Amino acid sequence: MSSLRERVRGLWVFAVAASAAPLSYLVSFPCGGACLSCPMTGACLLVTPLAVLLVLAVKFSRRIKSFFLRHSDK
Amino acid sequence: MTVRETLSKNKWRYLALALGFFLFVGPFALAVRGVYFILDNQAAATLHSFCFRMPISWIFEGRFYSIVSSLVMAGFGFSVIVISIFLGPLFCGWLCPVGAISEGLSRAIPIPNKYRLRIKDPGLTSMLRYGFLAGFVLVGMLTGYSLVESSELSTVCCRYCASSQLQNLASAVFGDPLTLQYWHTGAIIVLVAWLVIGGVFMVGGRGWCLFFCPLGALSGLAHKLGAKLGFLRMEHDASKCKNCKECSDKCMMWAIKSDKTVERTLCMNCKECANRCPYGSYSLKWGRKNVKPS
Repeated sequence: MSSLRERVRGLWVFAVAASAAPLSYLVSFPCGGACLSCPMTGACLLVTPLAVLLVLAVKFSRRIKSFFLRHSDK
Repeated sequence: MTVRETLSKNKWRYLALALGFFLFVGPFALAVRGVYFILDNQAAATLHSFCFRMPISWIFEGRFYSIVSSLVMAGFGFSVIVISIFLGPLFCGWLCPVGAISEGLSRAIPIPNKYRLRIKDPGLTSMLRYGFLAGFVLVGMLTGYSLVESSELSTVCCRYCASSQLQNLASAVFGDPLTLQYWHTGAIIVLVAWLVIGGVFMVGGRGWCLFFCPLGALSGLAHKLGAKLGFLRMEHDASKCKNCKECSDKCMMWAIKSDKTVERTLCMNCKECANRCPYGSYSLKWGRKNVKPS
């Protein structure tokens, strides 16, 4: 049963990645010109490190929560 | 393991990776120059003389002749994949300058692995890798069969290519700054994804190779086939394993499963696991008879 669950999860990840790749090309095609050709006007360069920081924050969420719990007044 | 020990144990691979830069990246591109000399081809020899990505797109764009008409490109792609069947993805692990630079950057910047990203399940990593490959092929099919009318989509291959950016950077450093004219925001995104996210912020520094290199993905499939047929592959001996997890922590391709066996579609026979394992649990094996289930 767990094997079936893992297989389904794997297929789900495959499908998400397969659909994300063309979408990412479509979203980022103005990048081939210049920042001004895109409504984000270069904000992606800020978004990328922020996304990495967000992922790191999620990764350490338990530690972050415990840190705040330890340092809260209660 | 200290820096000196790491350098000592991996010296042949590091030397090969350094050699790879001079073999494939212009203005040196010694391998391409050699082939061009034999073929009496006067074209400039660069990393662009063969392409890691476009041929896959061309197949579906009805431009297969573009690959076949270029002996260098056809020969390169064919050789890398055929060698992967017999000896594993040696190009990825031992020669590729793109992977070497992000891996080197990862080692040079001393961020602890706990602050770096990785997926612990090699099965999921593999599915992501082949999902991205399928998406890349899908784009080729959509544009190749004119299902999508977009000149932008049909040029994604060069625009979002790390080896293309590496060649531009190398050309600029070695005396041709005009190549920087080719740079654009897409190039910066590629550099960030290849060197910063895939290099510095992913365990092992091979994030680009894992998720965005179609040649690496195809080499992984070829290696899986080759390993099933009994050709060269990394094997784990469970009887020697003490479950110290040194191998799975240090594997650049995140290829070590929870039972310490090797996910073939990710492994590039770099021998990092064998070098790191204090108990000698990993070794390269050849032939079908000695295969023992771990």
